[in-house]
Amino acid sequence: MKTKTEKVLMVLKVLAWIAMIGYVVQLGSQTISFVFSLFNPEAAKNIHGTSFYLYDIYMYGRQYFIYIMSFLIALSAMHGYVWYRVARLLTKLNLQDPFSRGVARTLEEIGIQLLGIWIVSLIAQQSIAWISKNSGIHLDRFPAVNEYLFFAGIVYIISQVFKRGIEIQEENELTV
Amino acid sequence: MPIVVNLDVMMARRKISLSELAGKVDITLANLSILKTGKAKAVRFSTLEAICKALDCQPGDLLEFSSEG
Repeated sequence: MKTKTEKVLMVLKVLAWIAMIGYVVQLGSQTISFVFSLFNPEAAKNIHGTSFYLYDIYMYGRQYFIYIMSFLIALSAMHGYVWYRVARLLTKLNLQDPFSRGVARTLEEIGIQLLGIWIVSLIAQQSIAWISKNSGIHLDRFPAVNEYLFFAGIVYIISQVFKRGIEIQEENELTV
Repeated sequence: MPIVVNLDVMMARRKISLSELAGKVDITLANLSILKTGKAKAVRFSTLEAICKALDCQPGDLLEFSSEG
């Protein structure tokens, strides 16, 4: 019989894979729209996953459009990759023997990747604000980014506690 | 590690095999092997007591401090 934790982990695993697929679809959609919009500016009117009107920016300056789109595509890829790592972690996680060096390393890397998302998001947010101010085109505020710093910190702390737990476990195993 | 375990030396002196000792001190062969090969990170007093009793020796005969380790 499966325990409650196993069931919760199973649901989380499915959700993580769905989120990963969602970001991959968004990444593909944004990349295709971006490539099409380079030849046909009308395609910039409705780009998936963007809350602001990029067509006006395209008209203001193609280089600004490319700049913003690069950030959006990079962020979609980074989000997708983090969810992929989470899904893989949940797939590999063995509740009978959860404290392994591989899990600790993956958690640490996810924390660092979340920090990377925060940095890229912050640069994108500031750049968009700057472009909006200079162009006079009203752009919606970039989605909140500071949460990623918080998440990165939490995941990193958990990974360090996890690491210490593994060290204690190994010490215990080597106590005769 | 600077603490050297001389279990193998004492076992050779007493002409006793690892499995024989494991049976006498009631410790698994795997754990005794960890101790013998110097991989152990800690030794319980109860284990030390049992080994000393089985080999008729002092803890100092089994453990040695070496600054070169």
